[in-house]
Amino acid sequence: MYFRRSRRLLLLAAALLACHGVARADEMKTLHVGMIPTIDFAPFYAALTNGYFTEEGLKIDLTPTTGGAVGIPAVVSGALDIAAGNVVSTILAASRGLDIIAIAPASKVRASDPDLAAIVALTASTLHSGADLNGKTLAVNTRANVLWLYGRAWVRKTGGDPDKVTIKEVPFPQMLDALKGHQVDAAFMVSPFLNAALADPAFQRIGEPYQQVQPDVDVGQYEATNAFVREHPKETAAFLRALRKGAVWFNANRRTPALADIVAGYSHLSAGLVAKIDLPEAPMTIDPAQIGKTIDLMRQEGLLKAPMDPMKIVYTPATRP
Amino acid sequence: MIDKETAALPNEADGTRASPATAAVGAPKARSRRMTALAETRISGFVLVLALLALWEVSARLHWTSSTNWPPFSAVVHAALLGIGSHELLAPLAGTLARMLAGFAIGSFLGMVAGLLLGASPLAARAFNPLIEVLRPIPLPAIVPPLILFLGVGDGLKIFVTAVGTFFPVLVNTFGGTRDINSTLLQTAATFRVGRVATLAHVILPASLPAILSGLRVGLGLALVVTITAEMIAGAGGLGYFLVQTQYAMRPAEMYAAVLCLAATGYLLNRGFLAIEARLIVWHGSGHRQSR
Repeated sequence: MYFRRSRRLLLLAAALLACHGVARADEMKTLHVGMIPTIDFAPFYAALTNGYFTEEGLKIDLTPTTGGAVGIPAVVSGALDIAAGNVVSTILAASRGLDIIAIAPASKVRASDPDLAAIVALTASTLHSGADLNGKTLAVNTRANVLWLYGRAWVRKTGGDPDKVTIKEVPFPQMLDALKGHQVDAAFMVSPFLNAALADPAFQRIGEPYQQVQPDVDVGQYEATNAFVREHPKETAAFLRALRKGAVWFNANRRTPALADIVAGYSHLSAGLVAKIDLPEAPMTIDPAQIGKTIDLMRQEGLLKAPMDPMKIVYTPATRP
Repeated sequence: MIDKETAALPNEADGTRASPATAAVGAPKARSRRMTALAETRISGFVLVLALLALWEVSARLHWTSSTNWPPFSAVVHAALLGIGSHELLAPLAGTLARMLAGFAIGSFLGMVAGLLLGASPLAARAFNPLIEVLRPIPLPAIVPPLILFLGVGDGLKIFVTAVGTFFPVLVNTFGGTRDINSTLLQTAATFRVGRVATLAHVILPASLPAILSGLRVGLGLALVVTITAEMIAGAGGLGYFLVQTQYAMRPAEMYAAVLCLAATGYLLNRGFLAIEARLIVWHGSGHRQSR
């Protein structure tokens, strides 16, 4: 009797599985995506809001993350398929043997663009270059990451010695208070905090490390694993097509209220504040030469011991199966 | 009250023997009793809270600090009311509470079971004690990023971390409670040939209940902190993520509204727990009297 019952259960399970298989054929593919809700990733949110992923047959299961420290382990473990991050996090993770590649660019600092990242000091201070920062304190959001790297490189480039500058870790929202309270002498800030700082006459911009050190640097990236893009070439291609459409739309609508609304919607910034930010053009392709320059800089500042081939972390048709 | 009186006595005694400066601290007994009576009421505590909130309001209104991250308290209350009205605050709070209670339930259950087992078996206690003492002080925020590798960034991670945070105080208190049991109780049970499981359920568990409850209370407070921390590090929702999000969106009033909301939640959880504890202890106490 038990046997008969279990056989019936088995049949039922098989039938259910069969139905499931049929239903799955016309179902949308779900991608688990971890996104940092900052202005750098606006093209992704534009694609999402405009339904470009749906058009490509993708359903996006979105998880907001706070950055590479969360995104990369989640992607490597398979909890996320794709995550937002930056070039230094990607290179560092790959140099430690983790399976991680950049599948698309998110943000780029062109020489012609307004730089949304700058070193800020009190207007009352006499700091104007890296040489002036010797023996002083510079705040960055995270040690041994992208702002730390370009902050140090800027100090070196403008006549200072990065080893004589104390670099302190201060979260972006607290940087202005740290400057006002003289806990730090300068701070490497990004928008929208940079905009808030420059709106206050008490603060001045003393340097633009990205543009002064490495114009056209690729900063933000969308990351995945080789394993994922190998096993899901169709989904990866569909994701990249939708993302590209989002970037095209973003570039055509950079100064429009429609984009400001999208950014305000996911970042929770006020739309008025977003409208004041001069958003730079979104990049369309990853430039391996720029990744190479970042790798060289990381070796120079001691973040990377051995040289690395930039193509190791760049998703190109050549790395496709 | 007893504690305060006994604590005050040596001070007075010291004061008479030592310098006149310390003697001045020892006030006349009647006045000190009145002060103690005032201190006993909950009102005095609220007066301090209100005074601090008034200081907050004044310092922000008069720009004692020129920070954009220091909104007046009234703006925070306004943001809190708006957030509660629009569910912007209540929805993350509900998410946080659900994760916290799930983690607390799992962690406290396992902590109690493990504590009772260790209490019942001196061999197990000797074997596991070093491991527990090594694992217990690990700061949970430090293990969140590596845990993402195994548990992802979803609810599982936060519930796990909360359960770990709850597990150790409950385990240690339960184990301590079982060790402090009056041996007469155990000998009586043995004399009446009560089985091991029955002894555990009917003698050890009720007798160590006050210790277990104090462990649970510590665990409950920790559970809220740990859940929020995990949400701040690997957040996708909940009040912890809301805190980070509003900070980065430069909306300090909303951020403090969430902090206010958390303070209220923590307070209510603690009071609720105390109410439950009082009932359980009353039951325990009466049971104890009957057994005498």
